[in-house]
Amino acid sequence: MSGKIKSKKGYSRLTVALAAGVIIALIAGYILGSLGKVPESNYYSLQQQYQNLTALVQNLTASVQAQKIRAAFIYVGPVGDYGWTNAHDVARRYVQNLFPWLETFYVESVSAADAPAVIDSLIAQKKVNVVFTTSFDFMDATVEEAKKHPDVIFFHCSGYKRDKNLGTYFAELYQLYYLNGLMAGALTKTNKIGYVGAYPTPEVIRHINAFALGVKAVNPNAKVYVRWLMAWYNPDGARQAAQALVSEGVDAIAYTEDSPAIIQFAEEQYKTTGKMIYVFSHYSPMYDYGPDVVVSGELVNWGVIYEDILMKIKEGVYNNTNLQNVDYWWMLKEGAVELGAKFGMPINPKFVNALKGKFVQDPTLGNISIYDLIFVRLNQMSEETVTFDPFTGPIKAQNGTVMIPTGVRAGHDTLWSLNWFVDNVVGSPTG
Amino acid sequence: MRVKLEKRVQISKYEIIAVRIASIVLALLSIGLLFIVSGIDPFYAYSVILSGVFGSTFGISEVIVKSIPIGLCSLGLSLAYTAKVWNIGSDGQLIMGAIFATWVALFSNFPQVLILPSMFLAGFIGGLVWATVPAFLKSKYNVNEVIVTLMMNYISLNLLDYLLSGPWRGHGVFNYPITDEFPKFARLPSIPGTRIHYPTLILLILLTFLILFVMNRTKFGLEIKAMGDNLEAARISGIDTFKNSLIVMMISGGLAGIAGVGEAAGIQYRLIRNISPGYGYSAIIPAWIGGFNPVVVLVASLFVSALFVGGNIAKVSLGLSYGLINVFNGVILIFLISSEYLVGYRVRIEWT
Amino acid sequence: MITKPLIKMEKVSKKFPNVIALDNVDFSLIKGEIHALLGENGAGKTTLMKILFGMLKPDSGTIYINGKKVNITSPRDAMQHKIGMVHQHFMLVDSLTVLENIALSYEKKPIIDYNEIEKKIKEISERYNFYVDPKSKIWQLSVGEQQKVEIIKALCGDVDVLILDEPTSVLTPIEVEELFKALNAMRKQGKSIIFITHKLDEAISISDRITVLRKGKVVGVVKPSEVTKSDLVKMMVGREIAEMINKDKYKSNENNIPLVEVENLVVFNDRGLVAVNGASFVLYPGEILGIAGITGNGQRELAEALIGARRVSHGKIKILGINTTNKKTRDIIKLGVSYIPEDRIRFGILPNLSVTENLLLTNYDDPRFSRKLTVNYHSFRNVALNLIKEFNIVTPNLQTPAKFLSGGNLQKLLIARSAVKEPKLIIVSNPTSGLDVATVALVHEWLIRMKKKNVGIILISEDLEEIIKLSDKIIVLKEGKITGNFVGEAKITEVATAMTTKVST
Repeated sequence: MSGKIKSKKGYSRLTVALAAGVIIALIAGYILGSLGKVPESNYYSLQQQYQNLTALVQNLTASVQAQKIRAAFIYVGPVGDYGWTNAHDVARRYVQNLFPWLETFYVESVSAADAPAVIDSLIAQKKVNVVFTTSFDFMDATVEEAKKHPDVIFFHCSGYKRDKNLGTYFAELYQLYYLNGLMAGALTKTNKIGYVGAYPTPEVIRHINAFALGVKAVNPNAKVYVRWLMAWYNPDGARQAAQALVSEGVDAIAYTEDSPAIIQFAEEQYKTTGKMIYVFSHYSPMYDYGPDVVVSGELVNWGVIYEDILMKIKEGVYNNTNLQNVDYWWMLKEGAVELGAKFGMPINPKFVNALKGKFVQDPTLGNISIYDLIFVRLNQMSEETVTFDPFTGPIKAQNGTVMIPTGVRAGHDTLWSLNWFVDNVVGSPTG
Repeated sequence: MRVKLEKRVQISKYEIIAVRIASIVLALLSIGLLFIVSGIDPFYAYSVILSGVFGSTFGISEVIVKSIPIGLCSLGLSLAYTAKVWNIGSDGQLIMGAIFATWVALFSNFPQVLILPSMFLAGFIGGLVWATVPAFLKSKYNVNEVIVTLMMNYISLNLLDYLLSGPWRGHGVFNYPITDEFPKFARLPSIPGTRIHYPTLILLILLTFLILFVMNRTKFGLEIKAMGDNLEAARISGIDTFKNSLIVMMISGGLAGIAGVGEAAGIQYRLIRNISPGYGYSAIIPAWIGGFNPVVVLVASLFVSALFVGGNIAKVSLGLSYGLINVFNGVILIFLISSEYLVGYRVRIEWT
Repeated sequence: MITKPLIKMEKVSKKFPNVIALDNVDFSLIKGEIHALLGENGAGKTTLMKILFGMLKPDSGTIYINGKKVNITSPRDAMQHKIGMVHQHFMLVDSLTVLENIALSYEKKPIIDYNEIEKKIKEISERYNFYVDPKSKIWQLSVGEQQKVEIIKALCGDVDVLILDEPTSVLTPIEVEELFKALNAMRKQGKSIIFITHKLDEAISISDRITVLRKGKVVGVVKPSEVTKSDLVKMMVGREIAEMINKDKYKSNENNIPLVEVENLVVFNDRGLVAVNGASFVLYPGEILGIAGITGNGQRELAEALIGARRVSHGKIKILGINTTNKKTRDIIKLGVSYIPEDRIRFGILPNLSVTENLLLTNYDDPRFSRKLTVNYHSFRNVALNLIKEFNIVTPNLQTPAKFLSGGNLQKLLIARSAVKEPKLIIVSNPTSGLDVATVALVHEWLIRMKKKNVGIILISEDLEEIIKLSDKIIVLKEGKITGNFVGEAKITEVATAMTTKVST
């Protein structure tokens, strides 16, 4: 199924022979070198033979495997995490099953410092010709490696640097955060809503802003209180942050952190004290961790992006010279993301009635229930021509300055470099 | 049958080396069993890993790349540990070195030719300053340096976060928490085709021999060896243990700081949050394996780096999970550290 | 007298790496006797007894108890054969009471009947006149009392044979007397006692028979009444050894400049308690000042204050007329002061460093073998080799770690170290504890030689005989106070009385 352990018999023997040869040559070389009595020519001919052998072996293996697409995935975390890396790996398995001409490899828990070495050896040993680097941390390394291996196609997730053989891709969630915000704004009783953020990156700030804009659209009095974790994965920290927010009166929480810790916390509170904290799951289907408290969430489907990229490479649309401007920025319209805490369930049925029972006055839609509003917006953002975007002016920053003027829809670059919060967020956008 | 341990009266260098090699062989045999359990032919696995690490310039160069920061930290730790000053804060000191060097690279107005030397100096000072706090608390108020240095690691990490998400966040980086790239003149040259930033490597080798000289030929070296071996005896012999523990801690911090400079200016070309994937912690291992002897420590750093590179190769070539790799590395290190015991004791088996 | 021996050890041999500890040793013990096992350090006394007590396994040889061959493989076996042993280093838990310690070693039931054990302790105490409060914690007891606990612990096991390993080395003269009384009482009760010692006088005064060991072999089994002291020395050492005595005792020094003047000194110990409490004395060049007292009465703190390694809180120290109160150790050493600390392993030796480095420890800034920053190991080599020859230090080579040297050689090493720079003042603490007769003589000879060279010596020692033999003047330190002051010849009993004087606080 996966390319984890592919050791065809012949290849394995070849490698053993190669390794044995290398070791013998090294030892022989060392002994001959240190003896110093052996004529130099002998030594060089031995070295020459060894080099010839290596070259031969490399050519052989390269030609055999040229026909297939061999794609490597470099992960920053373990595949068993409950968020980012897992979502990518689910997608990798999806495309692996989909395309018979594809063979995939992955390496998990790779640090930024190790990434170049890992990529080099994937290319050298596994003869991969497509490399996906799935963390922002790998950006510089990917750029370097793309220069070093001009024949290999690279795709870097979440970065902004491209090259002729390096494209970028991203599945963006802010539309979903806006929809989550609508729900949170409608459900909160204290008008205090919490957000536990990982790092103050533009991505997280964008999500917080979208969430806050959703809240504002249905509940202008509610505020969004932000707590930073300074970690992508820190269940204990997330739990403590949630606890702190709740003790300050917050009764709805969205977050960016790769674990279901906050959901588990809310479910515990509900089960033991009956206290209701509405939570929104992040990235992976986490409904099962808190069926009583999870309202909705954001789900990602990297599979559609990988499918598209790999198809286009196979058909020759993408090659190692034309990726300079290839940047995937896929959202609802492309099916890269989905609303809900569980695939196929946009809103937890437990909360449907509450949302149906609340109404807002919309300039164009008139008096409409929140529940209906959510689905109108969802549809508008899923259409071929997107007729609604949360980041449409007027949008003010915390200090009251108008950042996006009336009627203007923020462009990609603005959204990519957000460093300010909208005016109903309480907290600092610098951590 | 009875297995008995007898204290060794004396052990020759060759016996020590033999014990070490035997322990590695035993470790490899045990890991071989783990390979078999995981359904991988151990001979195949070892041949892949060995040829990956040592069979190519690539593998060897990667080992060297990793051994530069590990070696520098380890060297400093050896000095501190010789005096029984337990610095666990290399990682934080490395980060401070990188921070100080980044300031020089991005925000100072030094002449271009002076930038790189100043970065090394600044990095050294950065690590040194960071180590001074626990050193001072230790020697003045007898506060346990293990805890303080460890805590300082987290403080430095938070400082790094603050700088990256606040004042030092780059302009051309779409607001990501990273600095701008260093200008060309603030980057260390590498050996072509590799990532070996050779100025740092040369520095490492020079420092290794400098510290060897300090330990074996200077008064200071004798003093710290005496302190480490018997603090009471050193004290009543008139050795200024306060001053010396301050100095070893500072030097060891400074060396870790230089490692940080190498990582920022030689590998990343900017300051990032993951500037150190735990090099400062990894460096504790070679310091112990090498028995605090600088040259042996350098070799041990290469060995530990080879383990990490081998681990990466196993991840790539054998598709092993990172958890399993950690288990393998752990097994090798446990065997090596246990062999410490066999250096002091002889195992005798009596057949009765 | 032909009595069937209670214990017989036959042809016992034991090899350690590089050393033959015991070579075909025969040993026998008769019921109701006190049997001294006499020999120098490393002669094999303790090894032999550890074999009998099941702590070591012999390479060959047999043990008979009451004529029956037995196989003792653990201390538990030994105790079943009614053999008990009191080790040189006590095996007590400091934070527990006497009662709890004794219970620990005997009660095997899950619920401990403390009353019964206490009753037994009382009974034994009364029988042998050996009192210890069962309720006090071990750390509250003096070393002598702790030894009593060890002995009571052994006797609680209803032993017939009690092995005592160097029991007097930690005791005051009065306590030694008490111990001997108790041992005699035990003998009367029919118990047999093996008494390991290297002190001739003790062996002669207490034992019925003496087995002398030398280098793992039995040299002879004698009755004390049949031999002289010098016979025994010859048996132990293998040659005659002249006893060193300070022959030209105290002369008036009124006209000399004092070497050391100590005035009303107050020093605290590591726990912040007063250790030296208002001590004053004067030392002139060419004098040996003996400081008598049981270890732990402020001697270490006094010595460390003198060399600047411990803060003086009150009072004044002058060395060679210079005020050295709270001066740096390094500067005081430079004046020509050498300190040879007590407990060499703990305070003197760098165990893992080489002989050379140990010799250098207090001398590395001597301009003869160092420059500003560096040490010239090369030029020190010859100095080191000469020292090794001069002081007869037995070591494989200069690189050997000090921990591989025997106690005697370590002491010689420390003395050699302090002889590198011609010292003007030597402060030496318990210089001969645990050393064999030959080395003791060597140390004493060196001290007298130094005295003759007009060096002033402060000799701190627990060994009263040593102090009496060597000192020109004696002061007695008890709980940090000077409780006795003797000039010239002093009687051992007088000094001993001063050592046990109650100090009013």
